[in-house]
Amino acid sequence: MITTTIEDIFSRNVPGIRELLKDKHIGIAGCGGLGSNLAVNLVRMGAENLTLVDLDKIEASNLNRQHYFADQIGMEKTQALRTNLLRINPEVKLTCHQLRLDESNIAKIFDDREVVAECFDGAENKALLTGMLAASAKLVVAVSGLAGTASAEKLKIKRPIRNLVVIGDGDSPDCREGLLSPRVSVAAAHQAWAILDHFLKEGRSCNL
Amino acid sequence: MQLVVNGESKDYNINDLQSLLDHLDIKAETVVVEKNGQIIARKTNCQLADGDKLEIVRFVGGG
Repeated sequence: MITTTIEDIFSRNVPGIRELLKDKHIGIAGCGGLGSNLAVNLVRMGAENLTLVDLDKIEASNLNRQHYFADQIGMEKTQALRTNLLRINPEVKLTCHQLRLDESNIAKIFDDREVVAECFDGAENKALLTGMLAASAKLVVAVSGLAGTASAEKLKIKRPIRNLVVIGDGDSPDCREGLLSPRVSVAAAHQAWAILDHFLKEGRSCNL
Repeated sequence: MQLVVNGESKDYNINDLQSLLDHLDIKAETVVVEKNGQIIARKTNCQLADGDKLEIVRFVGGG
């Protein structure tokens, strides 16, 4: 058996990034196309302390864009994602909640999280979580507008109000027209970068 | 009254947030609204005053 160390896993990472992200508490609200790909990106950069929340089980229709596999159909998303993330870095520490997020539990579940990624599918859920958490002075990294076939270059990172980063194209069609893996993956990668950027800036301001 | 909505200053013939959203044909449940730097709690109406600055962040589905 090949023995792999954590240092081996991160030997090609940008120096200092794993150390920066390793102990940061990051919440992921929704483990679908955005949440599953975002979690993979964060863990590959060195994040180890994630809260994963989702109500759903994996369905066949998820596999066109979500980071799951055919043999995981029927599993709870939070548990399947835990399995997949531990296969990348066996040292990740994950808190999983298999439940529906709503007005009664959003604040409590993400209470100890400095940054929360909004990774829902529905517009009303996106607005609910984003409004509640941005008002409570957490950084929310949300996505709005990624359906259709337009170039992934159109997915921009904007900061419209305090405590909020929104990624999207601003004018994408209704998601009932379908969602494609490249656009969902780029949006999730932008979320991962926006979270990294937040902690890089925070680190710089502390060192001044 | 004069309102600055998403950076654009315009004259509106309305008095409250819900009327503004109706006027703009926006469903209140799909937006986060900030008025003069404060987020307005979801589905809460509020009076608007001349010169108020509003940021309306719209969400569309997909994820």
